[in-house]
Amino acid sequence: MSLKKIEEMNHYEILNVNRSASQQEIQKAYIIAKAAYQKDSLAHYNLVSESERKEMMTQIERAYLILSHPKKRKKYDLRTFHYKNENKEASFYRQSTQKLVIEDGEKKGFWTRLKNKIFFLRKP
Amino acid sequence: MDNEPKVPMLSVHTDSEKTIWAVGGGKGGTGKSFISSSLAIHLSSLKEDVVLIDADLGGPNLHTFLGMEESDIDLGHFFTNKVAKLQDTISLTPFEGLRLIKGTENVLFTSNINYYKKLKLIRHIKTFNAKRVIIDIGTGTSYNCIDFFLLSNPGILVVNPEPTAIENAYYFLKSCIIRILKFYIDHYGIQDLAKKVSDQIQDTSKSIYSFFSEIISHDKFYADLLYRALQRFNPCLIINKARDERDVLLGESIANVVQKYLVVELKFMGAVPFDENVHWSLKGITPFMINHPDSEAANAIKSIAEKLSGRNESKRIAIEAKVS
Repeated sequence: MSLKKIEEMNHYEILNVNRSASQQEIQKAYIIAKAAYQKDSLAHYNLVSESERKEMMTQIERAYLILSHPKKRKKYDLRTFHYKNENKEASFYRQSTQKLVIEDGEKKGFWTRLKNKIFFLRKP
Repeated sequence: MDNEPKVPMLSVHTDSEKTIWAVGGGKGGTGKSFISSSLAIHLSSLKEDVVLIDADLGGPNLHTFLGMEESDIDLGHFFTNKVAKLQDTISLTPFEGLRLIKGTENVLFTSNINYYKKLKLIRHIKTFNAKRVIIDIGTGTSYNCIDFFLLSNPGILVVNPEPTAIENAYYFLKSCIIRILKFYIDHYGIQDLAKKVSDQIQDTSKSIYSFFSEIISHDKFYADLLYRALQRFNPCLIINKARDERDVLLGESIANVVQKYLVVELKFMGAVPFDENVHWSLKGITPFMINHPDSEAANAIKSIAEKLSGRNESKRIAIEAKVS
């Protein structure tokens, strides 16, 4: 875990689950998080300000809305992790969309194939 | 972190394999002595070598939880140099494998021990011969309480599902965190930066998170160093006197809030249900774990003790090895 501001945390960090978490684990984490930041909860008593609590509740709901929905979650994962890490250089001039990730993937595949071909031809 | 300060209290700087648990929580009456004595009785029944230390310097009564009468020797003899070693103040208990260092009755003297006596006690706790040490800490957020808590690995926070207990537990945790941060801030010579940030957030927020989110904007390098130092502090949480499932969920929720707003990982170990018989056992000066060994509360304590000592984990590994 690294030092991050809450607004910079991804949905998994907000719900406090691993990226490989099952739907059941996400559901459980959501129940715990929601219980923690409800207005009448004792868990934030005299520690979290009202504005911080409200902001956190919004973040929790937003995170759950995405992570509880398999298709939305897959899209979010692609955009947040896969796209950022693996295709950052190839598509730095574009805004992220799933389609472009696929295009980049194909492009990378083409160059890789070409390189492999050349490499293979040079082999004794 | 090669250039780390050697903080005398922090267990993270010891190489010893000895396990020291400290049971604290800030508020009085949450059941710290009940939990520490019950954990010790259960572990000794599993043939573990356990030493219980009554470090409630202002009001020791752990011996009563063990059903013991007064003993001839206590911590006072160590503080007044009547014995040279802490080891010499150990009393035997009615439970095989469990020994006790009794708090002194001369509380006026010991509740205000000076810094050097405290360091001496900490040094002896770290070096004396015992596999597992359980320290029962007193009420409040005095330096004595905090430093005994920071000595442990892990510190165990006992909280009741009530606003007063939770509030005091947060004060206690924050005091521990501020003490750790202060050591590092002094070591790195960034007092000015820390003061500037603290002054900025003083009126707007009560959380350690605000300190970090503000210090990141000023100096990301030192923010990261302080954050990493803090990640070595991993206290545990027990909810005592739980009445229903909502109180169990409260334990999980507290851990969640602490992770986000106090920036440390608090592991929730479980909840001990409220049991009227705890009161009656204490009245009869007999340990609850002996009187009601199969009660829900006793079973919860057994499970927590085994989780804390890693017995559950080794059981799981043994079963997995058998299966494979």
